[in-house]
Amino acid sequence: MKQWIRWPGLIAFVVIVALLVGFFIFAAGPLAKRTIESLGAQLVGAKVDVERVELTVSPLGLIVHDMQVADADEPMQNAVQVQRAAARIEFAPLLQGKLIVHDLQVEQVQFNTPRTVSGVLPNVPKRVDSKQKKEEDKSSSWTVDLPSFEELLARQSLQTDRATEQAQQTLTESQQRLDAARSALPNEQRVAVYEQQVQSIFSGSIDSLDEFRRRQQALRDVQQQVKADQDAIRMARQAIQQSQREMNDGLSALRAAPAADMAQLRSQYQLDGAGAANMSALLFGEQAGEWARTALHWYEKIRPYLASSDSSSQDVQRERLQGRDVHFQSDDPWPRFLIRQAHVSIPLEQGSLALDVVDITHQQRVLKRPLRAWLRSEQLANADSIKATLVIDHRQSPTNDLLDVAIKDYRLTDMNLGLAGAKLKQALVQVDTTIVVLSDQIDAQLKAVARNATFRSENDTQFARELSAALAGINQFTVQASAEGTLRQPRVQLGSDLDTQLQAAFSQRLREQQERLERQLQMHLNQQVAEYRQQYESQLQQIKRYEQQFVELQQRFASLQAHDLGEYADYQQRQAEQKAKAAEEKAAAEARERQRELESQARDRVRRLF
Amino acid sequence: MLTLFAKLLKALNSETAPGQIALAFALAMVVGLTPFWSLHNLVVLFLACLLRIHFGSFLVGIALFSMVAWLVDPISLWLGETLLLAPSLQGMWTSLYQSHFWRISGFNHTLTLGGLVLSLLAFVPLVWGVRQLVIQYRERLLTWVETLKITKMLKATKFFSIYQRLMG
Repeated sequence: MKQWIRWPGLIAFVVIVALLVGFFIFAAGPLAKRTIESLGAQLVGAKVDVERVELTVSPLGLIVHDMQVADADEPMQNAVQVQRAAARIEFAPLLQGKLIVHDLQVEQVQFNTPRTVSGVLPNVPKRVDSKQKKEEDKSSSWTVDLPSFEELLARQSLQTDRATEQAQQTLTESQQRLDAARSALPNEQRVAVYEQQVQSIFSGSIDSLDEFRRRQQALRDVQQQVKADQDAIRMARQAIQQSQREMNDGLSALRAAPAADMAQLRSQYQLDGAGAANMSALLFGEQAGEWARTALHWYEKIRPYLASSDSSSQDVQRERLQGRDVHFQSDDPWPRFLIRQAHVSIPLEQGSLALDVVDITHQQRVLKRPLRAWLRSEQLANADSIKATLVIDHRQSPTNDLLDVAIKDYRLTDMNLGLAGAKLKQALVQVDTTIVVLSDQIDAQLKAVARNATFRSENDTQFARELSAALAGINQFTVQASAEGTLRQPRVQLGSDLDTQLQAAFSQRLREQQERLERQLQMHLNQQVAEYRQQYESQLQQIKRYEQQFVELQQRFASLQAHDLGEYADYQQRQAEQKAKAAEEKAAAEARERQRELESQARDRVRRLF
Repeated sequence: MLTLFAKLLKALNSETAPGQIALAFALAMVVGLTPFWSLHNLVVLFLACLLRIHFGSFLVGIALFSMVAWLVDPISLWLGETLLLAPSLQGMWTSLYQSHFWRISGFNHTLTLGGLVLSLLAFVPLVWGVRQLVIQYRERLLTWVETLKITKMLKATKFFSIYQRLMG
């Protein structure tokens, strides 16, 4: 037995293992730093900087010092800055290549802190500066009382536009047809040539059968050419009639379009008296939209990493050459990555917020528990309490996420209403919000009740004075908002009893604005249409002229076609008859002449007799 | 790599016990046919260090069986899947899954379990087979191999100089 044991080998084994452990201890910190920075940058699309990462052996853990996550939209600003994050890591799962953080303490989380170096990643296309974008949004939608008619025209798909485009196309096609018809139309000279030819065929006497046949052939040739021209005229006439029909239709559509557009614009932008019902959207929409955009941005960022269904289904699929973990029933399952609990402290100017999160993993199917988070305020100066509960459940499809937010007595001060310099000077606000995201569908409800509200306005315009007067009588109001539909395009509704309170004060003002806007719109649309109507009418006149010419030509051609020499015998008979008739007429004329002479002589004799 | 093969050749041609070479190959098979970073491979490394086996053969064996694994992995995966999903074994697996030790062992990983079972099944036959091959080689082929032209050509190469250096 002794000859099979190699004791120095034991020392070699210990040395190898010690080297591995030593490497892990010394390299873990820098490796973790690099991993956090590269994975973080991939996640947020901007630089993530970590000052240093420290490894602790007992208990096993990592401490991250000063992590700065740059704002992708504003590179000289950090979206988030964490002063210290300490993670206690479970050793046993690590041996199986699984990172399970038993406890994560995140301290001093700050938002929107300045950076000394730009957070733009190399080789990443520059984004539109969000500040600039926000300013543009503001100026385009919220600082005006109602959208201008240019904005309405720019953002709306109008029937008038479509009708004028169609008109342009119809006019071009029609003009082409008219040109083709004109070229197909035989000119006056050509018709005169035909008539001359026919006249020469029928003039003079035909003395022989050969002469008769030659003339007959010449007549047939002329008539054949006439027939070809008649066919061309018929085709051109049909084409022109089609143009006429299309142009009549187009003209009707063009005449009707401005009225239809006006009706649509009225209903869509509520330019009628009910326009005041949109006042709450005007007053609170900007802030609500900003919050919603931010929340949606981060939710969309995080969502793929919580897509447990996807990663788990990958787990269920067979992966050749790599294998897979088969998970069995257990009280303590090990996903590939898990933070069992995290505590985040967020200091703010007004106090602080504390966030507790449990079960953060991308493999909820393995863990069999959803992510849960609780946010609570601690001694806030501007609110009695803020409480939020978040559940992200991606264990099965459809995924089901829920957020409840309750804010008690939030002391709102100097809130810019974005309208005529109006500000909500102060109010005590209670907010209750529930957001449910089922797969890709959102159902969000918000109710905010403001008490002890006082308003003021800094502008001195007529409208500002009207608004100020209307707001002065309001002490309490409720704002209700809802969003339904898909995450990317939810149907958002914002309403408030403030609307009814303000409606009366604004109805007159809105009516005036509405009338002015409608006049501008009507004038613009009519001008747009008038140009094409003139062109239509001029072309229709042209068509009528062509039609008349066609009719005349057809008549002349019909008369040319009516000419016929018939058979030679018939011709001779006709000639004989004509001669006999001529002789008869001549004899009759001579007889009449003779009679006149005799009568004259008789009258002379009678005169001489008396 | 040349050094490793030279060591293997030296072992084959020397007085190293055939059993030591055979055991080295068998242990290498376990490492080669299963995912490298597994707990049981630490045990195998421990055994390879502690037992008087031919370490060069062990290292060559790891390289060799890692290549063989490309062919055997599908069988290992199938075996692991079959065993882990067998209804009659669910009770056993579930009870093992409750223990951290067994979970660290990666028994619930299809390739690990399949590769380990396959290599353990082939362990004894491989030890016996390799041992017989080494004995037969030394008895019948060693003299004949020495006379081959290719052997003479090899002796003129860098490989042979390494071999000689190892022979001392």
